[in-house]
Amino acid sequence: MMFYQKNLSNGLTLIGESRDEALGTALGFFVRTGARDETPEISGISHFLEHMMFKGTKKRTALELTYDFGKLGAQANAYTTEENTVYYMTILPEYFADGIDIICDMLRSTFIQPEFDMEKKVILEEIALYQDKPHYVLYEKALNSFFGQHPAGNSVLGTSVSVNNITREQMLTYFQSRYSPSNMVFGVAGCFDWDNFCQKAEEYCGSWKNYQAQRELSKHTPQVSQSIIKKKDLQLSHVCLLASSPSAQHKYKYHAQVLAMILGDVTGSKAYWQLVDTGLADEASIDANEMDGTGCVMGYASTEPKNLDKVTEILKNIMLSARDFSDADLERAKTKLKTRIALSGENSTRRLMAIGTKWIYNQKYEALDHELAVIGNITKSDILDMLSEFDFIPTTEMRLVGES
Amino acid sequence: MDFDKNIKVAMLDNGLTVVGEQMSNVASGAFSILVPIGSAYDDANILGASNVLAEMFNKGGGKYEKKKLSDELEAIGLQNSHTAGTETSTYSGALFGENLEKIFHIYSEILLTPHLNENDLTNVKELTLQELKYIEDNPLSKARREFLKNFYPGVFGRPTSGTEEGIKNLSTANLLSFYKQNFLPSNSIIAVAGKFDWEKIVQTIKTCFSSWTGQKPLLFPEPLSKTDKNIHIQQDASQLQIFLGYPGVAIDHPDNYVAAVAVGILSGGMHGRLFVEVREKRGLVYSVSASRSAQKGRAATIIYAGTTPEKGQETLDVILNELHKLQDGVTEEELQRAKADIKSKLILSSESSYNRANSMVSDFWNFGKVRTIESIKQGIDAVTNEDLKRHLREYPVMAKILVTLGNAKLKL
Repeated sequence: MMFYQKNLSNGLTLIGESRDEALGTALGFFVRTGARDETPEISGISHFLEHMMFKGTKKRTALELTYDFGKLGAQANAYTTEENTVYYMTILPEYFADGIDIICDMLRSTFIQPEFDMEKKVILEEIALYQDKPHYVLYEKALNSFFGQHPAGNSVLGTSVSVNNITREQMLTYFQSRYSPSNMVFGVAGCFDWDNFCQKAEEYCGSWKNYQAQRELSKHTPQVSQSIIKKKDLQLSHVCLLASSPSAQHKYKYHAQVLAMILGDVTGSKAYWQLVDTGLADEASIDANEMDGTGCVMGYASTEPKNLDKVTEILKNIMLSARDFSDADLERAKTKLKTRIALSGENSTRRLMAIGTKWIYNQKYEALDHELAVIGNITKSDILDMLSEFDFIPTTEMRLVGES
Repeated sequence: MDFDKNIKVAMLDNGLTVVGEQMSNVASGAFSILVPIGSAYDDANILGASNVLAEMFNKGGGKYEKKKLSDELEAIGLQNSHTAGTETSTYSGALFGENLEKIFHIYSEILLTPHLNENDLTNVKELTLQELKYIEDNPLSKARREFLKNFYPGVFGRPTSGTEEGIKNLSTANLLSFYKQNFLPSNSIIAVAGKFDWEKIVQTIKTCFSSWTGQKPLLFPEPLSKTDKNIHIQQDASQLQIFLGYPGVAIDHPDNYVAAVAVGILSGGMHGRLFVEVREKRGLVYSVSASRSAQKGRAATIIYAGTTPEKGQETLDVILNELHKLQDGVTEEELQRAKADIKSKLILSSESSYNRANSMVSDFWNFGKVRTIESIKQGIDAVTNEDLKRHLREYPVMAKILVTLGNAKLKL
């Protein structure tokens, strides 16, 4: 693998990781904006805007854009999180030039009113769709409760009320304050020619105007709370436990991932043996989520209502006794994580996601081999050191139960 | 179909077939073990047996008790998954190619001499009952299950996860007897893809799996409904779930690629007719898609849409109208887009040894041979507008099964 990087004069960062064996090319824009950059009255605007990017430009109507993607057989998509908005496509290398043309053009949407009105309906359907998914309802509310006033816990989708009230003018203002080239990374992974990529990027994006786009990075104080939410006719009950964990910039971010794997990977972890193998919880997991300047570790389980207290207690105990693991546990977790990362290296789309999000957070390239080495070198005393700063003791507990 | 020197085949005396493809572009190795066992074979009083069995394989076999098994697999970094389907179950995984041989030593122990002990069975039954409740709590999963039940009224429509009664009836005795009668090498397939030494792998598999014996007949597809059906399940939810299906040509039919392109016209990426007409032009849904579920001897085109109840009828009407309009033919551009989408997905997914191993077992199961990526590509390329017209004339949309779940009953 070879890594390349260059900045355009307007601040747009270009990055690329080539792999000779790749059969495809993945292209993507990473924008440092998401739900945490929204105020309550425009809650959901980052995600709504992401949809609008597919709705036409000066050069192409929405339908033409869609059909042009289709001609290339492009596998294109986008997603919005609490802090990033990502547009990506994977194509066969022969369509490289056309692919860059489309994805760059797409990022300059005209946000035309009729499309805006139509897409609003689609977003409202998406909100309705997620309301029917119990674990998502809990995830969103629990994260919000853990972060309290801190914007990292903002809802990505927003509410039907907030989305309904968003105007085209608000979206233009938001776009003009967040989509500055210096707040974005344009990446390529797999099979490509770097000089060609840079040349095209300059041609299509070189005229984008640069301006300051700031993110508020205030310190987060984990909120202490215990709550129960209810949903009609639910047969299973769910619980979510949240604690602080290292940020995406922290030297111990991999340590948190390894520890989460020891405690709550889907197989072979403490949560697996104590909750799943015993038949108590059909799902039980503990994951570390590194975020911009902050982070959280989330324990989750779903179970029969009669076992909810017991399952919550066990899950909590696993997090409370995070220091309690053997060297063999550590080695197995490291091997699992290393294998997962190494296997994902054979997929261009996944490599693009890895290098793009890492650059967004750290303005740094992490080669796959480097990542594997860092993980390989993790010792128990490093993890204990991490735990002296991030104790993995959950401060927020939220349960979701059925109501008849 | 062309012969490709990269695809290797070996048959064992017990009826097990091994297929392999060495990939020069990866360091990983992947395997997929397909056994003709699934909900269609479950004994009627223990529906869900195949699903429970797939999980019980994780609980140890032969010289591996479950903790030791888990530790050994994790020590070599295996990423695995056991899936019980309708006619077949697959046990597959990926890891560094150099560790593939070890996998067969371990998997032969757990698959051929599973422990199936009482305590683990009790726990797995508990989990499976929770899985059934999960489906009840998630309208989309529940609607899909109900659709399949209605589309395949016989054993092929049984829920792969089983039924509450069936799971509760399971005992170590009836599970063991079900296993002995159904978990057999005849028609079973092992696919290996990625970085490995073919001769060595075949030798290892022979050593590990030769003691496995027995055969059983395969099931024949059952007749489907000849008339339209409209089934509604009333339930409080934000959205109405809509599943609409109709029979299509099976995967081993000469029109296989034509049928794949026809579904691609309806629903290939964002440019498919359903996405454009239902979502882009009318804003009726977030999700709408058509997919082809094609097996040996049977196939269905299944359309899914989720929308708020008041938009349900319009959503269905637009979908029905698109199905009707398809008979009028398609433009050359549409045809090219649908083909580009299928080919691109095919090539890009073939990069992964895990995907490749899984598509190899399913190819061998369906066709008795593994198609090369190139031959599939040629098959798709060869589809013309004339083929499509003829196909849609010969196999018109009829015997539609509609299943809705939520707060509105629709008119079909």
